[in-house]
Amino acid sequence: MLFVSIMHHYFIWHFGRAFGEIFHVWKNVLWFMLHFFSIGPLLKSWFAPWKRVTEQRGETWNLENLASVIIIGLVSRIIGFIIRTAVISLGLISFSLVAIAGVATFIFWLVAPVVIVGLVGLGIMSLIL
Amino acid sequence: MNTLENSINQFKPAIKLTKIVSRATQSKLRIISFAGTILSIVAYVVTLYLFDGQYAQLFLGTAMIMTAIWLEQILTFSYHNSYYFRGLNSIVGLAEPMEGGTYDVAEAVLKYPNDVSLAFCTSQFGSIALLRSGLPNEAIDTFLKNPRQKITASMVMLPEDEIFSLIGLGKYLLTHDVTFAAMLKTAGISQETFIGSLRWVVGSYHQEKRQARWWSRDNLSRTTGIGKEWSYGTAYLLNKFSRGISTSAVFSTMSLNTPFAAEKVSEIEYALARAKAANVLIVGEAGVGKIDLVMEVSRRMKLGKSLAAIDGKQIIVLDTSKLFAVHRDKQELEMTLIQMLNEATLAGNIIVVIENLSTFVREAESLGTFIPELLDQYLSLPQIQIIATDTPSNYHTYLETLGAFTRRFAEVLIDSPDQTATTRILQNIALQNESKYQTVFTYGGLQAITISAERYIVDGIMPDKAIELLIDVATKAGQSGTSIINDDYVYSIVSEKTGVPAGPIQDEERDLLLNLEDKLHQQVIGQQAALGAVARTMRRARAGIQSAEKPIGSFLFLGPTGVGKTETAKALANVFFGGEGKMQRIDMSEYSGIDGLEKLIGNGEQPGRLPTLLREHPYCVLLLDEFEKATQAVHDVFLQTLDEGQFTDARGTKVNARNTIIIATSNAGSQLILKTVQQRKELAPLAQEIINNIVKEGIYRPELINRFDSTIIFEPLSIEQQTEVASLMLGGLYERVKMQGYEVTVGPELLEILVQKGYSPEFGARPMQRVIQDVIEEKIAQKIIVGAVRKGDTIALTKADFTEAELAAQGT
Repeated sequence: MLFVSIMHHYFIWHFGRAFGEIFHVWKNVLWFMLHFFSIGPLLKSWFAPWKRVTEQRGETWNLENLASVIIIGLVSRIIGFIIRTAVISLGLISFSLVAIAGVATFIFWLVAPVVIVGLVGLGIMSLIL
Repeated sequence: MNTLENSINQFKPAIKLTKIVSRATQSKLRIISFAGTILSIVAYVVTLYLFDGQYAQLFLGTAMIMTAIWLEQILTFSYHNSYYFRGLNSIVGLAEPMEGGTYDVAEAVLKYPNDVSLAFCTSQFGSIALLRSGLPNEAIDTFLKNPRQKITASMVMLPEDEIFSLIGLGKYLLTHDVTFAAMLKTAGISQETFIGSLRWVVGSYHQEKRQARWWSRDNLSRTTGIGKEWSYGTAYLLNKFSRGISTSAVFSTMSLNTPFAAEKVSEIEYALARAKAANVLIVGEAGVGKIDLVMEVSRRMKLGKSLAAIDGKQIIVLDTSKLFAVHRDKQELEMTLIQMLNEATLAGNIIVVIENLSTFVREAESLGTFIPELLDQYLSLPQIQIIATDTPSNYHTYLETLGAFTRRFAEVLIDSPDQTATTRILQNIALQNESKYQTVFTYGGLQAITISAERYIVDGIMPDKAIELLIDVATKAGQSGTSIINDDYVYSIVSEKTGVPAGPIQDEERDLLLNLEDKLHQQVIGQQAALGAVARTMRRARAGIQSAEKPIGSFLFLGPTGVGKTETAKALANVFFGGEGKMQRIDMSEYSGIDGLEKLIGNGEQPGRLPTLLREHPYCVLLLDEFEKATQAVHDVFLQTLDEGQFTDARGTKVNARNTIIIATSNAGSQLILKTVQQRKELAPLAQEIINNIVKEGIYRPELINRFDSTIIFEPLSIEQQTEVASLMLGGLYERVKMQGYEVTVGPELLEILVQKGYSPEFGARPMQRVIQDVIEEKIAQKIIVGAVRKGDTIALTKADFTEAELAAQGT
């Protein structure tokens, strides 16, 4: 009797409140991916020089000076761009994986009781036969 | 409105589930079934390919069943978690409106739904909370056994929009269950103590629960994001002259989730987030945890929990001693500083921490560099920010005078936390020490530690000294095998440590206080009125009626010399601090010159007599002889000391005098006292007149006299009292001679002559001392030297032993 009452209560939870909670955890993990790979700050500073490594422009104008400012600035930005792009990509891939995993979890959750019963049935059959 | 019964019913199946399989077993099952699944799959693959599929079917079946068990365990665990963590609010990112009872309330009440009080007392956390309140088990047993009005779960109405945790249940019982409240009251446990212990127990349990919930945003945000600092530069030079922030943290164990710390941290964050001149000056006593707060700000920045405006900033502590060790001249120092700050400005996200700003400014000044001017241009830039720290006294002395420079900083004042906040800080530290020393702290014990540290520990500041005292007490308890540390135990350790009776008055001390007059009379002859007044004041002080922010007692003793003023002080030292050696005497006539104040409280280089004495003997009777002779400036120091129990010495440090009995003696007004007594008038009614006269003559200012707990007038000794004094003095002499191996007796006739010779209303007992010395001691010495007596003999002195000349010549 106790078992039945717990089961009953469980199924109400499984097909009710549980979805909200899975969604909540999913949201948290998605947020974590954005936070961990700093997607926002990196997108904002995508083309910024790498660790602010730039040349100071001199007081007076001369070509050599300008060239070095432009070249070093460019190199610094390119390095920054490459590294940031790598991290952003990695982050977005992870984010997508988590997003897909979330959808998969929802689908699994819907069929989970059947899957479990099925696995037990199949397992016993394999053992007997 | 929801009742407790309705609210907790939803938890029933989940709680029943744990009765069948506990959470710990569930976790084990999950791990075992997962391992079983993996092993079966591996076995299946191995048998399939290596052994031509023999037994493969068997392992496939096992793998399927194991997987099914594993999945089932995950579902069960999720189901239970859903209820287990319900109502546990998250700090970052909130999920749902909070209402109703929590899992732990349900767990307790479902056991005894018809008797909520019983449910509370027998619940895991309720019983621990009662233990921590200091309630004996027998009291709970009696409470539960005796007939009482029972409260059922359906009677308890839950508050709306609020979680009803065990703390809520405890509060409910306090107000609704009269017998429960009475039980606590009888055991001497205040409501505050009960709720405090409950908060402690339930709070740390909730903390554990929060940590277990890894999927909450609080826990997920504990990691630092990758590459947040990539768009900022690096301050190479500053890094070279910096050190780890944790090296100067005082109590990194400090629970920074106390409201006290949280408030200060957010104050600092808001100041840093300002658009312009966002620099902070943290002012607080050394050891109050200024750097700890900076560390917390830094931690929050790293975790992305701080305000958006300062997100991604980096806090670097400037190592000023290294800076001065490397640079010994003005030019070098200035160049490095400017280069360093330019670099940091360029980096764009640096917050530089300068500890003890005024010391840094003064040290640089000795090399000729004026820091305020140098820093000024950077203080207004948004790209670089400065957090400086300093102590209040240095801040007032050196920084406030700099005006414009100081205005560039937002001041954050850190007071010592109040008692409740200190007790809360102690809670975590107590838990850490409990397992180490195999002992349990009650909440009352923690409160006692807070109070004692504040009142009786002179060195250090709060909460630092409270933490030290806690560790001290825990160590002692560990050594002596004490299992429960309650307030009595704490006070006994404090008394042992300081020699000052602390905490509630114990039997022995009660007798002492009630019979204080008699005790004092054993050493002091006569002076009924004076000793009575002293005793009354001391009883008031010890009963705790007096303010804790004053000396234990303070008296002004007036009267002619030799009437027992010093003797009374000695007696008090004897009674209260356990020995005459605990009386410290300062001859105030030494402080009558212009340099009086400097000699007393010191100057920049030399420590003064008073601070030194109080640091060496924080628990003593402080006797200020001939108080009237000191200068007015010196009197002013005591004005402050008598009022607040502390004063500021020449170096700006506060010196604590709250564990002393201060006695100032004075001959002022003794002529009037003598005259009054000679006219055979009662002295007591004239006391006020005598004091008025002293004030009128300008010897003491009225505000000084009023600061003393009481002004006590000692009267001249009568001839009978003088006889008693003589006997007392002879008693002392007998003891000394006995040490040499002889016995002495003095005949009554001779005693009478001595009294006549030594009696002087003006000089009191002083001449008597001389008479005894010159007549009796002289005679004994003669006899010993001549060899007229042998060791063990009794020297019986009578009038006949002395010639007329011998008696007449002496004592004048």
